[in-house]
Amino acid sequence: MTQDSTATGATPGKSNQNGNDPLYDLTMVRSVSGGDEGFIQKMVRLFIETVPPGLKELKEAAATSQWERVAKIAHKLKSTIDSMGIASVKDDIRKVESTAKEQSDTGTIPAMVEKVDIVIQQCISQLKHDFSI
Amino acid sequence: MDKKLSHPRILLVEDNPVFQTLILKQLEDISHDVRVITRGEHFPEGDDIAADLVILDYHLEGEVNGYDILKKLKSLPVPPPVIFFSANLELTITSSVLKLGVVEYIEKSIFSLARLRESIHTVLGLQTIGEAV
Repeated sequence: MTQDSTATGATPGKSNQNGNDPLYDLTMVRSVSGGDEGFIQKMVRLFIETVPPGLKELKEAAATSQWERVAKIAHKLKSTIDSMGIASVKDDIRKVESTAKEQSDTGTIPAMVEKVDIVIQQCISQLKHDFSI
Repeated sequence: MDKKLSHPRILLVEDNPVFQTLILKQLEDISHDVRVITRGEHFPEGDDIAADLVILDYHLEGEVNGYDILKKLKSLPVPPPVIFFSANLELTITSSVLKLGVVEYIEKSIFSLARLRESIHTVLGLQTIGEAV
């Protein structure tokens, strides 16, 4: 593994799905891995397997106005999103958490949750493609 | 090095599978005796705790949180050292945790794993990077 391959998070020699830029950045995961490719694969699989149920739960909680639950799930998703370097929803998931916690302007939450869901689903598709999962 | 700490027993209390994996990676050259607990209700009692170090998150599965566990640990005759590793807690919770007493409170993020590792080394009296002969 060359140092350059850590810059985008994409596997060297592979293009991203549909030629889009990757929505994720595995720089920190690679840094923590100490060069252990098996660990990076494990992290990617873990993300693909564990995040969709959390997202489903988040959407259900938002749709039924369970704001405390929304805040708790968003809190948990936040650190996972950061770990995988998904910058485009980094602020949104924090806004979901804080808005749900404060229970102010909760009408904005479903749209933010929808955006987080769409980006993460795209990200998962890219990861599956790039890591041949 | 203390004989006991040549094989340190670590209790990792963390419900996020991504962070469990990231932290376990940090621990793999430190200890082979790591127990992972995801639900606060499953935290052991009395002598079953038997840990040289507890790494504790606040938000857990179930009704018992990291602060409840910390209170339980502090009631022991000889409480094990605790590193609190949790994300964006409210000030009142953070101050309550610090008041009870922890070795260190570290803001949980993939970026603070190196800090966590340093703290673990300090607590267990292990050589840290830079101290190696």
